[in-house]
Amino acid sequence: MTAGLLTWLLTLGIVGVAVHPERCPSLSRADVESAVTATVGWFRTATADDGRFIYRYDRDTHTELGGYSGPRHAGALVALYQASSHGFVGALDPADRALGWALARVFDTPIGPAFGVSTPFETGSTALLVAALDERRAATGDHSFDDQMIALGRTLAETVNDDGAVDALIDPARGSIPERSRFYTGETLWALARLHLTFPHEGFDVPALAVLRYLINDRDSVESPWPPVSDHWGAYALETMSRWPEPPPVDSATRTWIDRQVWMLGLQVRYESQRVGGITKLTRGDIALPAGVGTLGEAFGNLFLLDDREGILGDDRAAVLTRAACTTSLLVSRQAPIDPTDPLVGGAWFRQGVSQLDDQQHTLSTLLFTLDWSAS
Amino acid sequence: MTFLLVAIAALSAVNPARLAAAIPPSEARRTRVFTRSAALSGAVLLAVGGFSGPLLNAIGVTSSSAMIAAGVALVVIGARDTVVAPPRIAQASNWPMVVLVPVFFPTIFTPALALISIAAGAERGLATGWSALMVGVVVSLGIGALAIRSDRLSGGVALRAMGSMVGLLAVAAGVLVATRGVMSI
Repeated sequence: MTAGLLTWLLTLGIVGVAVHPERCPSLSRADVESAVTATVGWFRTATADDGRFIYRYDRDTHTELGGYSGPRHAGALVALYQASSHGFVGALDPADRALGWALARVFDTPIGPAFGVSTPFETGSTALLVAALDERRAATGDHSFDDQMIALGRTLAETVNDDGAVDALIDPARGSIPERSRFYTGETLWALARLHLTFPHEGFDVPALAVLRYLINDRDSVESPWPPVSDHWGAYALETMSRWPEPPPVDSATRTWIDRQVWMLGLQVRYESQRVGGITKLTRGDIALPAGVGTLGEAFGNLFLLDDREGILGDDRAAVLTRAACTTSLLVSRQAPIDPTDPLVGGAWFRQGVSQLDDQQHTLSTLLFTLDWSAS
Repeated sequence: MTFLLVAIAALSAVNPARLAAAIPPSEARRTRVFTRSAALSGAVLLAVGGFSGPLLNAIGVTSSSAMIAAGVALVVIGARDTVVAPPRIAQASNWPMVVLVPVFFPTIFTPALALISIAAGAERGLATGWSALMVGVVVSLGIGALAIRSDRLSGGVALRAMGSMVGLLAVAAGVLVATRGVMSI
């Protein structure tokens, strides 16, 4: 009897350390809309007159920590134009200022024009600038950047290798450099997919399909055998390609890739939602970067849209919705409230007192996707 | 979790070698202990499985995490059973309370069985989860009742060997159950 009780106590103690409750605060649509408004407000404050964003900020010392990233600048542009598309009109002004800053940093290279902040240029900078320009085109109806989009798209096509791999860097003097990146492949695919959707007669489907094949079939085994890449950009690309006039079929390999993504997303959300302080600081560590949590919501949002057209989630949709809602609720609950003494705090996300531009970029996109799927 | 995995997990959580040590060796009482233990287990597991959904909701645990918890508990119980020999077979005493202690508790109703019941109820539904659990428990009770005779013949070696083998089976089943939990959405 005593031994039995001890077995129960020991076992439940070990289980208690290994498995924690998941805390997903309840959330209303109004909460999400308020969070979007606050984030757009942060961007309005954090965008300089010349269009440069505050990149890293320490709220305890009230100081900017320096550094900058072209892909994150362009990614923030995407998020702001997404907000504009969703009717958050305040997003357009900082977005257009930041677009001007980016276009002033488009340089000629041997493979065409490319956006970069420092050399060599990250291919992702150009890819996300193309996506941002296309999002702006959809939000405003302004076609004045069409030629630049196509020219930047041609540059991206030049970074695509015969096997579909994407060169991650572009040297202003030598052209593309055969490095690989966990994210630029998906970003480039998404940009090429958007270009083909917007300009269906420019031939961007050919490199896009090559990258798609590589991303689905080979990328993880070649570049990241374990763990496989949790790829929200790939989800963006698949969603966009499903809107092509002749979308590529969702074959078994693509379904396998999607299933793997869904599994990784669910696992990450479950793990993150267990980080509630106390003993979980020892067993689960500190909360993840807000940008990282935001990418989960972006991937969910795109997979829902893809599911609406292709039925990819099947019986799992309800479970995936639960995880997506949890992602958004975690983000909203962690958003910094308005601080009357520091306008660079309210509406942003901080981890260990520091916020980085992409913390607002990915979270804003997730909140906007939530407004989409919660409405349907 | 498949029906088979739940049944094997239940069988190994209720180690028949330990049951053999807990069930009185008298032929007449053995049958009655067997049937009453099975009935008691069925009732308790039905209650636990029936409340699994509300319970998990109340404590904020998903069915995926419940599977991980069940798997971890099974590994712990399996590790114990692999290295710790079952107690010596007790002579019948304080009948009929023996059904409650030590047969049902702590031998049948281990923390691993309780957590598997919760996880299976949440994931497979009450009817399927309970059926699979009962298959495992009844098979374990049957093997346990039969094992007493073989243990007498082998001088205790057979029961120790069976206890360790089922312990290893529990570890393997626990790893599988936990992996299912990790791999699910």
